[in-house]
Formats: sequence, C-alpha cells, structure tokens
Amino acid sequence: MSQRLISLSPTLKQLRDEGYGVDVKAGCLVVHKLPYFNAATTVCYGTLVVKLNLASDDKLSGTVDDHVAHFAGDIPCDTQGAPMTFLVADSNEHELGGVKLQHRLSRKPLSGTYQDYRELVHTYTHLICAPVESLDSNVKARSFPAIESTEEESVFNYTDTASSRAEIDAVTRKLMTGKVAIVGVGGTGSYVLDLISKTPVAEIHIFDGDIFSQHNAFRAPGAPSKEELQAEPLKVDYLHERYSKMHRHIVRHNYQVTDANVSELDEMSFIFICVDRAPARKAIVAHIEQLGIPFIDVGMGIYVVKDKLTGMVRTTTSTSDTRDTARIHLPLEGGDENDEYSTNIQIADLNAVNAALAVIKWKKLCGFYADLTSEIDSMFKVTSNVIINTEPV
Amino acid sequence: MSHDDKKLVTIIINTQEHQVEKDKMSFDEIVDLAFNPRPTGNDIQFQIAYHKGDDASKEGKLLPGGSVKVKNGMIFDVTTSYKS
Repeated sequence: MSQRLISLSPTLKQLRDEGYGVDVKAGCLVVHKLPYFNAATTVCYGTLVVKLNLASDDKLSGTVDDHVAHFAGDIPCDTQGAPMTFLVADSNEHELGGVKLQHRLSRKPLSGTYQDYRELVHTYTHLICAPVESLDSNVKARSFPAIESTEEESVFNYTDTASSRAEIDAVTRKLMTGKVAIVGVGGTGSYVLDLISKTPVAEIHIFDGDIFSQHNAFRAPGAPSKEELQAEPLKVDYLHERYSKMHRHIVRHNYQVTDANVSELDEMSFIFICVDRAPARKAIVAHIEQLGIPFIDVGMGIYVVKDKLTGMVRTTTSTSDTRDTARIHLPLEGGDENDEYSTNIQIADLNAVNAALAVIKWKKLCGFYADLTSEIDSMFKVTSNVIINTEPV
Repeated sequence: MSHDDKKLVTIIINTQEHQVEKDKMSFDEIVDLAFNPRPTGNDIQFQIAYHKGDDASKEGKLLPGGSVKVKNGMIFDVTTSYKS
C-alpha cells in the first residue's frame, strides 16, 4: 500500500515530487527525515505522521477531517533553542503508521480547515524546519530521501483504518495470534466468523458439513437473496464468499470435526467450539486439551414459559491451567435431539450475543482487553439481564 | 410456633414462582421444580445459575451435587446449553 496511494493521489504525489520523504502506512501519511533544532540547537531529524481521511486504500476522501499532526522527536525549537511549545497539544507516547510518537501537534490554518494534506504538511514542516533551514542552506525538509518500501503482507483486502483512526494499532497487533478455528458455523459460529474476520489473525479455519438453508438465513449475519438460498450452498461456501471480501485467509473445511479428523485442529492457536451436540463437543475437547490449545465453547438453552422465552447463554473458556475446572461446565453428555427437555430454540440475537461474548473473551486472552475477572465460565441470563461469572478457584 | 419451623420462601425458577419450605436446596431439587417431572434414565446435563441470593452466596453457578441457601426473591435459571 505504501507508495500506491501516493502515486494515485495528486496532492500526495506533489508532496513527493517536491522532495518530502513521504510514505503511507496503516492509513497514515508518514513524512520522514524532517530537520529541526533541539534545545541545544543541534540539528535532529524527526518524523511527522498524519491520519488520512480515506475513501478507500487508493483514494483520499475529499476533506482533511483532523488538523492534528503527530511527531516523533523532541519538541522542535527555534533558532535560540527555545522549544516551540505553542505547537504542542500534548506529549504522550503513542503509535501511528507504525511509528512511535511522542507529541501531538496542533495548528489550524487561518481559514479553519486545511484544504488538503499538502497544505497541512507545508504548514507543519515550515514551522518545525524553518529555524534550521534559515541557518543552514544545506539542510532541507524537502531532501528527496530514499524511502524503504515497508509493505508487509496484510491479511485484509483493505486497510483496517478503524484501528488507525482510533490509534489502537499497537493493541490490535496483539490479535495477530496465528490460526484460529471455528468449529461449526451455524448460528453462533457464523457470528463468530463475522467478528473474527475483522481481526488480523493469520488464518481462519471454518468447519461445517451442512448446507445453508432458509432457516439458517434467520440466524446468520447479513441477508442472502432468494436466489442465493435456492442454490443451496454449503455453509462454509456461503460464508467464505462473503467474508473473504475482507479477510484473505479464510480456509473452508466442508465437513464436521470427528474423532477421525480431529488432528486437523493441531496447528490452531485458538479454537471456538460452536457445535450443537454433546458428542461433537466431546470428540474435540479431549484431543485439544491434550495438545494444550486454548478454546472457548459456547451454548444456549432457551425455553418457552407461559408464552414468553427465557433461558441462558453460556461462554466457557478452557486454557492449559483451567482444564479441569472448565470441563465441569461443558455439556459433554446427553441432550439428544429427540429429548423434549433439550430445547431446540435459538434466536439470532442470542447467537450474536454468545458470539460477541466469546470473541470479547478471546481478545482478553490476547491482551487486547483487560480482564479483571478471568472467569472460566459466564452465563448470560436473558430475562434478568445479568451475567454470572465463575472465576477460577 | 417453635423456632425450628422453616419459613415459606418464594423463589423464581425460569421466571416461575415457587414457594418452598426450605433453608437450602440441592441441584436436583431445583431441576425437579424447573422441569416437572425430571426425566429419568437420561444423562441430559443441566446448568443452574442464581442471583439475588443470600449475602453469603449472592450469585453464582450451582454445580451438580451442590446445594445453596435459598432466600425470598432469589432467581434461578435452569437450562441445558448444548446449542450454538
């Protein structure tokens, strides 16, 4: 992505042609090798980073919606070595565009908004670099430096600018954990896929042998057309078609996980078990416990009581140090489909809640969210709007 | 009235009110009230989560073989959780 946007965008290309060391990374414009004076009036070099307002990876949006620029270096000083603190909005370590930054700079143009990014870059670099440039004609902000191409293979077809705009790229990198498996992409599993496909995991492996039927449409994210349903696609194919538009590495397995093929889970860094029967669960759990792979198992039980629904949504987490205590909460026996007490009711919103709770918990295990309870099991009681956590002993 | 008499306590199980004359109730007793009668000869696994309980055990999950002090207004949910 790095130079492509610059080549396609007139204003950014002009900056490059003028001699700025520009690069684009993670939805940000990075301007390298900007000379400035520190307090000892020594020439130093800093980096300026600006969040880009993108229409797509190849196109800037029409406006500059954020006038703030981010700086890596000391607070730039004037020709006397006095720090230009009027430029600085705050000084806190943060990260954008892959660059570790120390300051947020703020300067609005007289008109109130920058016309384009060229005007923004000119304004800031002039303020930062003019003191040095005025005393040494050999040192320039526009020095035509060679920029190393830092294109790394992204798992996405387009950049996650949600993370860059919120300045959480560093935290989001914690989700790059390798291969994740979703066993069963029915109701809850399809919502898990919806959420995991928006994270930078290396690969997402989906396992399901079923066809995506009309009733599945009412328990999956998005909405198929009648024609799509009539084609009777496999669940893995239907979901892959949708989500591979965003995440490039969704791998389909159009069969159930059984005792015979469970070793296909061996390479996974994490597993979401979203099956609907005890025998399926049992086959997987014993095997992956032995391998030391952490997993989350989900399940719900909804009943009709006097014309209204009630029930619970379960999210159970098993890691290498909580195997025994987690297993107590896993329904590994019983629950025959023909059993009237084993309810068959599932509702899309509850599938979505179960999936969201499971993904949030996975993110806690990755260190993305803090985790103050470290619960191994949580029960969302639908009719009380309460979640009961079971913490490890 | 002797002070050995237990009070009548109203508890809620799967949104239905039940009056019980008990200090403590076991996992099986609660399942029997939730699904009346409970099927025998079947290894179906239930999960029980309660809240608004006694100060000593205000909320939590009741495990098979366990029991918990009951209190007026205590809320129990009893379900299976096989489905995804």
